Amino acid sequence: MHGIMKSKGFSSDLVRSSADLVILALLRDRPMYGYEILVTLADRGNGEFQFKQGTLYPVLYRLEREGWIRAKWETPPKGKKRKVYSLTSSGKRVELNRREEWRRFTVAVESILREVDDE
Amino acid sequence: MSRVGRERVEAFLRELEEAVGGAQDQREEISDEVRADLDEHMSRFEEEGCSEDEAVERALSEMGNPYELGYRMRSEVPPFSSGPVRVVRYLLSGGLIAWVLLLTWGLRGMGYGLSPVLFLLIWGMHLPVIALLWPMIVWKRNWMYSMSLGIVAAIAIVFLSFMGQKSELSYTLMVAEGPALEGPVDLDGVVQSSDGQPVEGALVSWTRGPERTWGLTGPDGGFSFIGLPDGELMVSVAVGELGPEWFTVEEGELSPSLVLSISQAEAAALVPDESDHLESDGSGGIEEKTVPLAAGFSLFVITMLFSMQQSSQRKGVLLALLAGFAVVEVPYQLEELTFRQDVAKVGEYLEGLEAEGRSLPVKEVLEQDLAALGLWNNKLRIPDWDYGLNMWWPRPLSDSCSIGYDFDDDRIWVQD
Repeated sequence: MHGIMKSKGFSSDLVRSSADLVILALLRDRPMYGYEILVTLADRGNGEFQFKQGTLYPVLYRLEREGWIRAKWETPPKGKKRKVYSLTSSGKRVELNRREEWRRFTVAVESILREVDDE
Repeated sequence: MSRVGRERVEAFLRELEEAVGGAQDQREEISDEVRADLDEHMSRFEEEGCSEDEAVERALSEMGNPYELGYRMRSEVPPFSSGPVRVVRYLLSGGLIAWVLLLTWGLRGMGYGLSPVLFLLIWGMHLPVIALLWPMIVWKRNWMYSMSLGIVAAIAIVFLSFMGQKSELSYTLMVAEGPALEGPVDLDGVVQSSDGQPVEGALVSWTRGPERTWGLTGPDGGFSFIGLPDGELMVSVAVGELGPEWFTVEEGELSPSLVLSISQAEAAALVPDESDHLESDGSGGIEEKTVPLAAGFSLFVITMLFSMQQSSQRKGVLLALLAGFAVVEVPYQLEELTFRQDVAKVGEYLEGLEAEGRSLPVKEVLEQDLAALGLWNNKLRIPDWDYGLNMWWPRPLSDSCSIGYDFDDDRIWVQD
């Protein structure tokens, strides 16, 4: 998953490790199609998370293969037919676990950094 | 969008499809998704003030190299197959499942009681073939990686099947002489392995109509039946869980040497033999070589397949395995339950006779009494007392086998 996103201030390793979580978290809100995910990530991430469009699809396909998201072609009343991704029940569990894990991770890292700063 | 812009986008999508490969409908689905997103992306650039050419340029630029993108997609997406391949895949899968069910069904009929190990052995050995037919179950990055386990496992199945056809599986029934033309006859003989070693503990039985008896061969492989009725008899020899093989013995005619060949190689490789019969000839016995190997191999395959699968597919495969197990096991469990109930009813009836000090009634009365007991199976029968107090029930689910119960020894077994 090299070059997964173009980030203004984050290393590629850091954003790569959080790619699954942020996409799953977005889809928990509502089903979205690929481009919509890109735009929403950029909006909610204060411009920091900017996936290159070409790198989004392999991530989505992998999440789908894992069974965490499912894809369905839908045609809105106004607009083109789009492939819409939604979270599966398995994906919801994974998202919760990853979210909890991420919070513990950031707290632990923050704690370490704070101690180092104090010294 | 201008013609030039559209052509650039379509050229990009063609190259992407080329890199993705696989079935046409799968390529087109990916292409349609990317096209729709590209169009929206370009529209947004134009809304931001870009010219149409610039919008096309920037949108395609963010997509990156189409070949690189296609290769990355291909490594993540389990490949679809073309229509004819899918039809063949479904047909082969259906045939394989039917074959495995038939095999499991037949082997299950040769034993009494739950046999999850047998089930695991058979299905574990055939799962790799399913994985070969459906590589998307274990899809990881490319065909070579995804298919390697299935190919290795399939080769191992062939290897094990050939092991089941070792020469030790042939036995010879030697008889001293054929039965006399008239009157009670004696039948003596010996069961030998193919290399001439006596086989101890082989089950030799004869039957004619409802009459039947059996004996186990001694250390020298010998057996003896005294005072058999004349006329045509069926003689069988069973070694451990293998066989039995049946022979027709007509008046005055019995081949002095009958070779019992076990043709069901897979059965031989899979069915555990709990006795030591085959080891008595010093050849090592098939179970010594193949059953641990098959069991270990099956568990390895099942573990590997489950570890390679995606989480969503594990549940499906597990459910399919459980369904297969239920299809085979539930009918046999019901059959054995009803047999046990019939045995209990007949046992109570016989104890009642004993308590009243009565002897067993004549055959006609006995049949009427059994009919009045409301047995599950009206084919249940009690042979004449002369041959022991036993009950026999031809298995409705596997008519080549009979469940037997010995009132004297309180023992249930399956005569296969």
